[in-house]
Amino acid sequence: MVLLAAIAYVLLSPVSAAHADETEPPAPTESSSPAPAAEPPPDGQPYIRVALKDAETDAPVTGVTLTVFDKADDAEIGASVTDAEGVMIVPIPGNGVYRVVLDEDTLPDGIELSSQTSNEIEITARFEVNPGLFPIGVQDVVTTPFAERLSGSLVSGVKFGLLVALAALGLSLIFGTTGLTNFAHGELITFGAMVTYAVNVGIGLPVVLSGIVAVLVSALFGWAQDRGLWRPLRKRGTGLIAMMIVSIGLGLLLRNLYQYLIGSSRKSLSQYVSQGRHDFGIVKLADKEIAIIVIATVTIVVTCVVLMKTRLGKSMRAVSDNPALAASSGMQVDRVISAVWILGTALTGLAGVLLAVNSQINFLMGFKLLLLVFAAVTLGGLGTIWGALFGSMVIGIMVEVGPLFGVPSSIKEVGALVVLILVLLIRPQGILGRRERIG
Amino acid sequence: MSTTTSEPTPAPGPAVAPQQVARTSKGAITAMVLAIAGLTLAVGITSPFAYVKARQALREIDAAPGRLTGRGMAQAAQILGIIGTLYLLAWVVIGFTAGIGGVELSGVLRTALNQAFGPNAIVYALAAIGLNVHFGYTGLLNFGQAGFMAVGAYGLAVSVVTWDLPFWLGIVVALGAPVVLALMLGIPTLRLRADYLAIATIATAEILRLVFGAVETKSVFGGSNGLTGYAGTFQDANIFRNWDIFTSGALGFERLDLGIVDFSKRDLWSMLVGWTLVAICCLIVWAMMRSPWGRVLRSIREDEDAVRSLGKNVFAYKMQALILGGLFGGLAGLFLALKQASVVPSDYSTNMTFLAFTALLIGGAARVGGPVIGAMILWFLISGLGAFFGQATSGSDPLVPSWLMDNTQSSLVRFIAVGLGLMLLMIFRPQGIFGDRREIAIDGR
Repeated sequence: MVLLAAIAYVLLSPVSAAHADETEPPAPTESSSPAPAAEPPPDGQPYIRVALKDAETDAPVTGVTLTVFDKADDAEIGASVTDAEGVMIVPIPGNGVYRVVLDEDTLPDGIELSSQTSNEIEITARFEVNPGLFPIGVQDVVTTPFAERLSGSLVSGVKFGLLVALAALGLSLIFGTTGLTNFAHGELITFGAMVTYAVNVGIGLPVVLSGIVAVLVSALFGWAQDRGLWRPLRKRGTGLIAMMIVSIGLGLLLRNLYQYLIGSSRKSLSQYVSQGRHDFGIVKLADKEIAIIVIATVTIVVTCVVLMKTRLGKSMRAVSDNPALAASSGMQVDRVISAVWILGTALTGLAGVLLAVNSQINFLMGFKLLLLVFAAVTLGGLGTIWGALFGSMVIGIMVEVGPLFGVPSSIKEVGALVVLILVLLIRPQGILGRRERIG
Repeated sequence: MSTTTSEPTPAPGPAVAPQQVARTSKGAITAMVLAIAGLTLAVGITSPFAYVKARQALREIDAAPGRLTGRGMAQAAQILGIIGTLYLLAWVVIGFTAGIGGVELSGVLRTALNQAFGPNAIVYALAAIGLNVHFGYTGLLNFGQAGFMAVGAYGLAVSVVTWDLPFWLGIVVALGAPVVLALMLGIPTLRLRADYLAIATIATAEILRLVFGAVETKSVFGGSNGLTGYAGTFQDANIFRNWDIFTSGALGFERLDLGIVDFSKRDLWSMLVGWTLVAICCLIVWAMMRSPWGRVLRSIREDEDAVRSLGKNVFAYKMQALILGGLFGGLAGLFLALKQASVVPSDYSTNMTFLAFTALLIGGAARVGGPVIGAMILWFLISGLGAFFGQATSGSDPLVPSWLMDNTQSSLVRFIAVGLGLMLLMIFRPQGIFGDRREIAIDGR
């Protein structure tokens, strides 16, 4: 009989720093275990990591499923499988008592828990939001220089800003041409992530292919939504406020449908879940983060060129300026709006795909982002392309860099929402918007 | 049935109508589809609609002889609709007496009625009354009602628990806080266009929820676990405490059993206070909306510029409406805090605002009783669907196969239905049950 010892320890990111991994790899509580190789989630979230080792041979135990529950309400926080190093990581929302349950059925043949080891352990996550305090059980931590933390935050701010920008472009395009304030836009982001997950984990295609499929399906979803719902409503002469409330209903429906389909826990894709970061001197980036930044930038540039230079882009801008005039000049307004929906939802779906690759998939991921996307679009100016881009970058960097300057990181989104309200008050047309757009 | 005689024959004479191509009545087709669906898939649920639709189609066909065909189909659909309705009735009778596949409809109905009259419906009724003042009468699109509710609830909890103030002072703070919030929110935002106001208010509500639940403010607001231990005075005042009308129900809780509904002592006390509050609020709304002040509000909803040109201070009126509606929202939050004896930040999410809006739109905006009826119907449907699917997916041989829906998923069906219902309501009947279509501010910008 082979004995197995489960060693679990909590590593919590210091809240003052934007990244858990900006600090030196903390020495684990059990000094016997070697430094872990799996990477924590890149977005600076606290997490629980568990390392499983064979007590006799000291070899890592792989392929074991562990599930983390919140002890207070027994809600599942997430589940993960130990990797080649025998390490698994589950992000947690914050302080609290968590229960980690080991699924004994997934233990490899010939390995079982020793008689003293229970398959459940309780972990109390407690950390103060004080810049001076560091993760519990960690010794010999070297503080990272401020400049390095700032550059790290800036880069992740840019990354986050680009993701928001993709979604904001979609929202802005649709708002610009149809006037619809779409409260179901967050669900379009989730849609991209969900399709990626379904194709990747359900069918088994590689993540890159799944992402492409997801963008295409998102575009199709946008087209179908316009044809099946919004166009008939426009034809009926439904008012904009009524359409806004319809979009609230649609959002509610889709959110719960997503939860129906994938449950309330966070899910991971099959590839690129935990990647090591390369040191580029002042910043450290994982390969997937570089890929996300490049893909988002290229997509945004291409979209802008299309909107600026092509006939389609010109007609989109014409319709958004004055639909009646566009129609009377012989443009087919409905076809242009269809194209806008296709383009807008494809961009938004791509944002969801990249978010899924960046961290994890959850039925609420888009809804949580919705207000930030609104903030970005309003900050730049509703209905303008450059405004949406500019606003997204400001919001992204503000959210990520804010904690470095004393914004409590558990409410780092609040700053962006305050900006949203301030902009609405002082300059409702946005920084780059034109006065007549606010009607 | 002689169909040949009813065939229109072009009458000789000068009054020959231009020859039209007869087409099949759309209503007849719809009725037929509904009737067949009722008999095959939908356990007869669509059959009554098929019957109604078929009768309409028959009238239409008879009113326009020669232009619409499909009388035979409509008649067939009518008969199938009757059969399907009988089929449905049979299921309902069996469901109530013996239960279908482990689902006892009487239990479902009991849960639904309990909730329709229970404290939850009161919370949403109060919140929706506030939204009615905002959206129904004044046309202000306030998507931050959860924020008003949160400051009401936290106003009481923070004063009593954190500041150690007496309970009655806490109530005063709880009613003052929404007024302050309305002033702070209204002064800058009331100039904005409807959709901007919606975004600004939704963002405010989210900021409040995030701040109330933050780790950093835990010493004041209690973090994500919220605050408890302030409602003692309210619970001690329960006049039903020593009444001898309660029987021991499930789990040993004492309940008052009224046959089809049953309530605990605590719920009964909450309901007495809550429905009194609802009645008072309705009375206030009724009195104020028939006054000249209310007429100005309605005119602002219809045409702001016209009201301004009559020399009215539109901003002041909007502000007063925002304060009044916000106060009702705060009252809803206060009542929620009292009846469940704890405030938790996650309760005051955007979804709560959306559900309150749904309640308002079901009952009908710009009607005094609309939000109250709407909240009752909303909770009847939500808890009824929840109980039905909960029962249908539990047990060893559930009615709904487990590959399609398991017990966790069953609790989501009701919210999927609410979302779908809100869409359909807004598209096909924006005035709700009692509203007047001309009185809904949905066409403006």
